[in-house]
Amino acid sequence: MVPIRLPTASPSGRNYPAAARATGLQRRAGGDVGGPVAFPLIALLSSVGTLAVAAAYAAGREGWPYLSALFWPGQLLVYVPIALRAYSPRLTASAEGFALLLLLFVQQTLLFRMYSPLALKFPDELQHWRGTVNVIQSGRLDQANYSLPVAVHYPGLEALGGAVSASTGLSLTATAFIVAALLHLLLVCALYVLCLRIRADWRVATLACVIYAANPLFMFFDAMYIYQSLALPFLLLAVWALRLLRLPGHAAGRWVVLLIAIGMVTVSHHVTSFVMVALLGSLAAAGRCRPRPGRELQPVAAWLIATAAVLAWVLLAARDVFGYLAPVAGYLGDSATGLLHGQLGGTAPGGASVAEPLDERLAAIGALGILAFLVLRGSRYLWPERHAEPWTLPLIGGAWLIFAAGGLRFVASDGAELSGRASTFIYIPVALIAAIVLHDIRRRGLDHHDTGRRGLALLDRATPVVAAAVILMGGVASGWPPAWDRLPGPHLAAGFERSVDPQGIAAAEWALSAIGPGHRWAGDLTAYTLLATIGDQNTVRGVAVLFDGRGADAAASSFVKRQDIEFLAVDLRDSMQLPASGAYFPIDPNAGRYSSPLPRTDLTAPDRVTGVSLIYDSGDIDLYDLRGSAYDG
Amino acid sequence: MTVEGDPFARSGWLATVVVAVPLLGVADAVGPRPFAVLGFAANLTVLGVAGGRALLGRAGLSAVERATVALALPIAVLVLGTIAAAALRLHLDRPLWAALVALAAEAAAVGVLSRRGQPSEPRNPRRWRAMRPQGGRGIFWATSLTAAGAMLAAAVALSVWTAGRQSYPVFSALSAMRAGGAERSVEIELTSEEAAPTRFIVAVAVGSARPASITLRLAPGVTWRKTVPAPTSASVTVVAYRGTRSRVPYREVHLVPRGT
Repeated sequence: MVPIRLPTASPSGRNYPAAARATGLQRRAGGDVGGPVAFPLIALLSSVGTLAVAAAYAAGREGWPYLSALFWPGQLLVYVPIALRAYSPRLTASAEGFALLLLLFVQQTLLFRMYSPLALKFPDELQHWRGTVNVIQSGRLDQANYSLPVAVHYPGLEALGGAVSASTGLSLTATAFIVAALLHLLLVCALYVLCLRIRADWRVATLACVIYAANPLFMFFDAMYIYQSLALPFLLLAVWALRLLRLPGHAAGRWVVLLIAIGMVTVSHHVTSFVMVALLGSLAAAGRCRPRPGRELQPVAAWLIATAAVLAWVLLAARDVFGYLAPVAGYLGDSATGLLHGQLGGTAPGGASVAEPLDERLAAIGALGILAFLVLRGSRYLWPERHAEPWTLPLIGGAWLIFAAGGLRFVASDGAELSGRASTFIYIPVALIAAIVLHDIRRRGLDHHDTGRRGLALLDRATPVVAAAVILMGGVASGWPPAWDRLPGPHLAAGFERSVDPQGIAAAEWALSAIGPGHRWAGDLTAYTLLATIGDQNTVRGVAVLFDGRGADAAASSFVKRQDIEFLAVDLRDSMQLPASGAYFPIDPNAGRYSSPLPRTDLTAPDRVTGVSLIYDSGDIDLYDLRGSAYDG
Repeated sequence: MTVEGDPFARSGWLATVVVAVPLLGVADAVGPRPFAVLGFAANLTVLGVAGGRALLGRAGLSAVERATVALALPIAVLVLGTIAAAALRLHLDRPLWAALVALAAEAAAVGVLSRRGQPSEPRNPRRWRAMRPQGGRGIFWATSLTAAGAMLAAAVALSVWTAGRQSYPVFSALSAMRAGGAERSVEIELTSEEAAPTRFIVAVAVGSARPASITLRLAPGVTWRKTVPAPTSASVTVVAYRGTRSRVPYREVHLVPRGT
């Protein structure tokens, strides 16, 4: 067994530098005589998979029947051959292992960007696009971003995007594509080097990265041009740098790298910075619980520095973060209360009603089950022999959070999203422990291979294929985009990126050019996104009271005055389709309970209110000026 | 790697880098775009590679770790440097970012130069075992990888092509906004996103006056604008008809009187 603790000496590695000893790079090829011939074949297979997914996307856009069915085979063709090779004992070259990761990165990046290859459409990306535009146009970092006000206090991504765009002359869309891809590549590299430092085995590191690539948000959300994409790799690099401090020499330089990583996380993303404090705190506590002389004080120092940095940033620069995160805490509290009253997940008020297909739910449960099994087995494998190693307990403890995330999925009213968001962090220890135990299973399988029992041999070969397929399918199925949004296609009401179309964009652009930035707007979910990002308007969330067809009644007037609303955006397509996401508005009291679209007469109610001007009409989208009207009076 | 194979072990190479970095910075700051991009990318590369070397050395780091640091360090310098500059109330623009990257790259190169030859620097770190085709499998490798590249190119081309021609419902947008400080006029816009050049009739009625009609033909993507004098006390109604004979309003906006 390869120890978690970095080896200090290697009998066969006397002439190799510490890096090679530590990472196992000095190992010679074992049984793969003739070099890694599988790699080009795997590259070809996975590229066929990417082409199949591209065909499915094209089918979604063009309405071609049948071809959309290529989505899942394509996804599996991209992932499964790479996963199987990473698991295979024939993988004997560390370079090939890392090349597999780069191949998977390229393929998955393409799978993501081919969804919308010409423009940013994902609302989260549009929010940061707006922030970056503000930086370039104003030359400052403190310009209000109405689409994501808290992002002004975490301006790391906007600073990076602004610098790259201004220095290269690239459009902001191209800049966002390139920066996001580089950050995603950095995430892969950071995870690889961290696993390498913790486990000192490139096979385990390769496998861990492949497993992590199947986490629900890895392929889309974590690859987006959003601030978490910048913070996450530096979180991993902070832990990596902390691990490096155990090595002799270059201590000052390593501390500088650690401080830079802590600083980057602190100024880039709130939740990741809190996770960093918790993670470094757990490593420090584990180190203190098992006191060892000398260097084990370094995690404590790192945790203190990180805590001080995050606290100082939050208290001095980002006080709004508590207000921003309070609703999430509220959801969790409501869910806990609902649980006490016997309400689970989608049955709770506000719970999503949009049902996932049965096969996808089964795949999600299957993936969770496989990973939970591997975590349990890995814990039993690691703890008896490695419990003296200070990082073992935090590693196992972090991996066990997969059970909490799984429970959250079924308990919380917004459980699927919260669980998915948490998986970005939880899957790091999960992937590492799963990789360790899979590597051990593979090794034991080689040691005790019984060629005389064909049935078992067949099962032995089929199991990894099925497991890889289920883990990938479960991850994609429980991640983003959801089933109804998985392929690009025609406009959907309240369908996030599927609602971003030329008509909505034109209305938002007109609002910015004709009215100017920063006005208070009410509108549906799509208007909320497009007006705040492309239109640079100050949009309001809980606006359902303005769409109940009662015009300027007391409730509506009170709301308009209280929220200082000046303009109203109405999309008449909301009267033709049910909301794809289950809610027409950013905060919708009827979320998940719509059985018919909004009545058209409700949507056109402002036409009948005294003093309201209809200032824009594009057929489906009407923009109203409420100033001086009965709403405002 | 031998001393000869390690560029950071050669004074001449390092001195060249130290001299080249400011020049690349100038190109980045004020040069024409291709040179600016070249200068920006080159200085970022120097910053990443030399900065990682200056901070962490080579001993104890694998090739992937060095590459990771080389990728992370320029990003960190851009982000933290920009935030520091903003805190100092400096205007964030291309010259500032060029100077920031050049200064950091120069510092990294000088840092490596100053540490050169120290005993702690290893002289023969082992390379990663390269993944190369063996035993006459070069043709197989080349064919497979070329085919894979062709597949990916086809996938990207298919996505770009279908995304570019994705059909959305055509539309035209009519708008009217009171303009000017005293709001004595109304700005009218009609943008056509129809499939083909389209003829419109726009009727503008100010107060109770008889509507004035304008006939125009708009190509797709073209916006027609007109400013109409209108007192704030008068209502304004603008109706657009598509085609020359249609009596059914295609788009309609109206402004209520203000300040009456």
